[in-house]
Amino acid sequence: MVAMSIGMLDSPPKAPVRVKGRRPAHEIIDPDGELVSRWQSGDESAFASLVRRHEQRVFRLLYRMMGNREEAEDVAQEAFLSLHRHGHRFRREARFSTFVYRVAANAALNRRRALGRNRNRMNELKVSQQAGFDLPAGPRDPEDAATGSEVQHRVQAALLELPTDLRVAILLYDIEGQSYQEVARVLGIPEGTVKSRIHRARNTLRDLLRSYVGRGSEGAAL
Amino acid sequence: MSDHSHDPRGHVLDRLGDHLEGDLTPEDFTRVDAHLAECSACMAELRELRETVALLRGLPDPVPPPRLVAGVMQRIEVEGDSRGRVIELFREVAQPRVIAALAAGIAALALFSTLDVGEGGLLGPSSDPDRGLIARRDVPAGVPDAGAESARRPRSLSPAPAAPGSFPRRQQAILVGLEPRVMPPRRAMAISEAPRYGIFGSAAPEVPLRDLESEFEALMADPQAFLDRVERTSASARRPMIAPLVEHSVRRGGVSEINRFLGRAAAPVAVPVSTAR
Repeated sequence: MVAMSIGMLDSPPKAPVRVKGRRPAHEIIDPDGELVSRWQSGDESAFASLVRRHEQRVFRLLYRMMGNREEAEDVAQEAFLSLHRHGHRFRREARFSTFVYRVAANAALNRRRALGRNRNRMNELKVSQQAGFDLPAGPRDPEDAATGSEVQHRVQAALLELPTDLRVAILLYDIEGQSYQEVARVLGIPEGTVKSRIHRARNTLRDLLRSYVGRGSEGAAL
Repeated sequence: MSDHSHDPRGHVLDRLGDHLEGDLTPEDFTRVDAHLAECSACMAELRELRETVALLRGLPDPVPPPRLVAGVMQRIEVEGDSRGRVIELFREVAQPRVIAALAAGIAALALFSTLDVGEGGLLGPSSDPDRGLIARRDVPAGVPDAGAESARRPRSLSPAPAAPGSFPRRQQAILVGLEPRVMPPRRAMAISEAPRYGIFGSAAPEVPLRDLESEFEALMADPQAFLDRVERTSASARRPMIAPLVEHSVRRGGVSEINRFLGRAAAPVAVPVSTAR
C-alpha cells in the first residue's frame, strides 16, 4: 500500500477528474510532507523533487493564466524561486500544494500587474492568443483535432477575457480541482467570495462562448 | 432554500452552480430538481452552465518545458552565489569604516578584546541555525547560560558585559563577515545603528525609510539584480549605497531576516552586537 502511494506520488500531478464532493476538507495528510521536511532541513535535492512533482500543476495554472508558454515558463521559474526563498514560511497549516498554488498565483498576479503597466504588451498577448499562437498540446481526440483545437483556442481566449481575480479562482477550482476551501486558502479570501467569483466567472465564460454552448446538445455531461 | 423565494417565478438560477457541484442539501436538491423538470428556462441555463464547465475542463494539459526544473535549480544556484558575492561586497565596502570607527574611538578595541576568538573563531559555525545567527556567547560570570535563548542575546562590546537583555535596541549593531577560515576576526566589519555616527559615520546618507525598505526587500528578493546595479556604480558610490541597507536591516529588527539571507550563502553570518559608546 505504501509502495503504491509512493509510486502515485512520483508521477506528475494530473488535472483531477472531477468528482462531486472533491477531497474532504478535513484531510490533513500531506503527500509532500517528507520532502518538505528534508528540504527545510537543508536538502536541496528534496526541493528539486518538489519542483518536479509540482511543475505540471504550476505550469498548467500559469499557462492558463498567462495564455503564453514563454510567459508561463518565466513566471513558473519565478514562482519556484520565490517558493525556495520563502519556504521557511511554510508552517504546514495547509498542504504544501496549497502553498505552491498560492506562490504561483501570486507570481502570476504580480506578472499580470506588471504587464498591466504596459498596455501594449497586454494587447500583444491578447492578439497572439486570439491568433492561435502558443497552442497547448494537441486535443485528446485526434479525430476531432480541427474542431477541438479551435474550441480550445476560444476557451483560452475567453479565459483571458476574464478579470484576473475571476480567472484565477475558476482555474484553481475547475482546472486544478481545488475545493472551495483550498481556493480560499490559496487566494486568502472567504469561501463565500470564492463561490461568488466562480459563479461570475462561469456566467461570463458562458456568455463569451455562446457559439459553443446552448445549442441544445446533450453531449457535454461532466 | 431561502434564495428560491427571491425569484417570484420560482426560478432556481442562483442554485444551479451548487446543483452542478452536488453542494445542495437533499431537500434543496429535490426541490431544484422538481423545478427543473417543469422549467425549460432553468433547465437550459443548467445545460449551458454544464457545457461551459465541460469546455473548460476539456482543455488539454499543457506540457511543461523540459528545461523548467533544471532552469529553476540553476537559478537557485546562481542566486546562492549572488548572495555570497553580496556579502563579500558588504565586507569590502564596510571594512575601511571599521578602521574609521576605531579611529573615532568607538571602543572597537573592546570589541576584539571581549570577543571569543578561540577555537571556533569569531563567528559561530554557519551550519548551526542558532549559532549561525549569533556568534560565540559571552556569558558573564553569575549569569546562567540560558542555552539558545542566551545565544540570541546581543554580544557585549564592553569589557564587562551587562546582563542579558540589557542592551537597548538602539545600541545594537550588526557584525557581518565570513567564518574565520575565510575571514579573520580582525577583518570583520561592524556597523552601528546610528546613521550619522555609526561605523559608517557620515558616509551613510539620510535615506527615506520607505526607500530603504524597498531596497532591502529588493536585495532579499533578487541579489543578482542588486549586484548588477551596485557593480555599475563607482567604488566610491557603493559605500553610501550599501551601508544604509545593512543599518536598516538592524533597525527593522532584521537580524534574523538578514541571517536567513546570509544563510543561503556558503559561510557568512550576521552577528548582532552592542556598541559601547
